[in-house]
Amino acid sequence: MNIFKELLLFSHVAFGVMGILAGVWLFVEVLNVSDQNKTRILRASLTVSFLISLSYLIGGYWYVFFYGPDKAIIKSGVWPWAHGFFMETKEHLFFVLLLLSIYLPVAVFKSDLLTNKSSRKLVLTITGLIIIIGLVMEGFGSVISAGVKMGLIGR
Amino acid sequence: MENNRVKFGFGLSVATTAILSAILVVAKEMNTVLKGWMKEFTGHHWVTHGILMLVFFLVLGFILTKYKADESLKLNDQRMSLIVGGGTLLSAIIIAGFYLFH
Repeated sequence: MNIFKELLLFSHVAFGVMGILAGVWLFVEVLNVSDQNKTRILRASLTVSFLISLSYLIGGYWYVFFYGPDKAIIKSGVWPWAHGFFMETKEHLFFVLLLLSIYLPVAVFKSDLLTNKSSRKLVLTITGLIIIIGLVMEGFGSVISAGVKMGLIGR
Repeated sequence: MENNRVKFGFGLSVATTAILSAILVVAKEMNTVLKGWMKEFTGHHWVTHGILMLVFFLVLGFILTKYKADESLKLNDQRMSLIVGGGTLLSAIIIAGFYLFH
């Protein structure tokens, strides 16, 4: 068993979950914006961006260098759609998640969230999308893992 | 004003790049020559896809900011929420729909 490969995969999932949680933290802070939490909002937006980007880079490295054998198992197994739909959709939808995460701090830093309600709605929209797509990514990841398991059971 | 210019320029770039990325997914899956070129360029089509999208996002964002897209398109935060949300949703529908029926 390649421990490095497994550690990469766990890190990808862990940073993704932490990114989603940071998104929830930012969402709540923006809903309760005041003079006291303005700095926290800036920090939370940077945290989301950093964690999602890290999850993307680690997941991407794992996908490019280690996914091949798992893909072969899934495709020859009883759940070939775990790759055909779930992995293909996940690997391409992640680009959108990355774009939103990079854009989030820009929207936060360039807005006056305390006085402008529409700006708050924009930041909440971006953050909400990051949380939803992030959760979809986590769910799809678990189906892909189950696809490998089903492929191995069938052997 | 300068703040809005950057915010709306890059917001519009997010929505445009997300939709373009979905179109590229369909194009490369339907065209083996394109997918082959993308694979050759970096060693993996997915890596090339990511680099292209990131470069496009940054270049378009800077162009839209420089040429004051916020003024010419009369953008505001409310419209930006719809544009970013709509672009993201459309991209997700194209990608998931394509792989569902492909």
